[in-house]
Amino acid sequence: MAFAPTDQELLAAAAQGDEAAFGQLYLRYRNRVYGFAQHMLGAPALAEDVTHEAFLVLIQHPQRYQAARASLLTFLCAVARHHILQHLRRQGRCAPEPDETAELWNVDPLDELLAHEMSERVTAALAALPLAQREVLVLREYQELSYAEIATVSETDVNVVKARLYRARQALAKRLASYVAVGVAEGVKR
Amino acid sequence: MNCQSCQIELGALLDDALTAAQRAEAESHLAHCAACRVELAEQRALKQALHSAAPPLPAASLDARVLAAFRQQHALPKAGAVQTRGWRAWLFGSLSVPKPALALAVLGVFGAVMASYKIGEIMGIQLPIKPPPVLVYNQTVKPAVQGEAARVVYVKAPGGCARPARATAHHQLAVLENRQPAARFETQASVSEAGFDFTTTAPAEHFEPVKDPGVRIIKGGNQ
Repeated sequence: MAFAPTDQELLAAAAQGDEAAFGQLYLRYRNRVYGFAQHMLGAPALAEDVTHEAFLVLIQHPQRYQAARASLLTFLCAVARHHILQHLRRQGRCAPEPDETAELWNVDPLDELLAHEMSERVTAALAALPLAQREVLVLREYQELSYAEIATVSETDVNVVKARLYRARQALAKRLASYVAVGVAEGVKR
Repeated sequence: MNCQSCQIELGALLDDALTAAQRAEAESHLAHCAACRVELAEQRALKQALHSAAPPLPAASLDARVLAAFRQQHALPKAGAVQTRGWRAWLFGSLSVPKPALALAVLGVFGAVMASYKIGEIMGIQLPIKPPPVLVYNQTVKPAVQGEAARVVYVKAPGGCARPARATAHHQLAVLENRQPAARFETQASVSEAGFDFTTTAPAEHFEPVKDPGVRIIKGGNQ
C-alpha cells in the first residue's frame, strides 16, 4: 500500500531541488493559502502576491519551517498573515473597516438563491467583519485549522480565538439573518 | 450551564473543539432548552451559508510565478557546471550560509583567538597554551609580628607575575601547624638569624595572574 509523502519529506526533497516534490507541496496548500489571503484582502492580485511570498519562503528558506512547532499549513498561513498585515498597514487599513455592506442584507433571500449570488453575499459579509474576527473565522471555516493552530497563526491564545469566533459568528448571523432563517427552516423540514 | 454560556460554546461545539466534559455539559443543557436548540440550528445554518460560497481560486499566472521562483532558486545546481562532491558537499551541502561568509567567519574567529592571545601576553595573563612549569621561590624576610594581617607571596611567572591562590600568611601558618592541609601550594618556612625563610612551591595553574610585576612579599593586603 503506497502512502502519500509527508510534508516534511516533500519539503526536504524540494530543498534539494526536486521540482516534482515542490509541485506536490504547492498544490496541496496553494488554494488554502490563497483563499485565506483573498478573504482577508478582497483583491485577487494582492492575494496572489501574498501567496507567492508565502511559498517563496519555502523555496528560499525551507529551514525556517520546523515541523515540531506547527503544521505546514499553519506556517504558511502565518507567513501569509505577516504579508497581509504589512499590506494593510501600508494602506492604513488595520483598523476595523466600516460596515459598507449592511444595506445589502435587507433584501428577501428567496429572491437570491442562486449560488453565485449567495457566494457574493457571504464574501461581502465576511469582508465587513473586523479584521481580527475575519481572520479567525476564515482560518477556522475555510482553512480548517484547529483553535490552537489559529492561535499560533494569530499570535494570540485559544480563549481569545474562541471569543473572536463567537463575536464573528454573532455578527455574521445578523448580517445573513434572512438566509440563516431559511437554513433553519430547511433543517427543521428535514 | 445557563443559556448565555451555552450559546457562547455552541460554535466550539460545532467545531468539535470542546473537551468531553464541556461537550456533555452543553448537550445536557440543549436537551431541555428549546431556545438554545434554535440557536444551534442557526449556527449550523450559518456554517452552511459560509461553505456555500465558492472557494476563491488563483489565476494560473500564480503557478507560473511560483514555479519560476523555484527554478531560479535551484538554477545553479541544475546547470551542473560545478557539482560539489565529497567532503565539501558533506560540509557545505546542508548549510544555508554562503561560503564566502563562512570563510570570513572562520578568519574572524582565528583573528580573535590570535588577538586575545597577544593581549593576554601583554597583560601578563598566562594562557593555557604554555606548559605549566613548577615554580620555586625563595625569599627571606624578617619575623612576622604576632597577629599580623595576611601576607601575600608574589612569584615571577612566565608571562608576568602571579601569586598562589589563597596565598595568605594565615593559610601558610595553618599549613605549618598542620591545622589545614596544603591545598593548592606548599610553603615551607625555617627560622634563621636573618628571619623566616619561605619556600613556596606550586604548579603554575594554581597561581592567579596579577598585573603588578615583581617578586616580593607584602605585609597586609594587596599593596
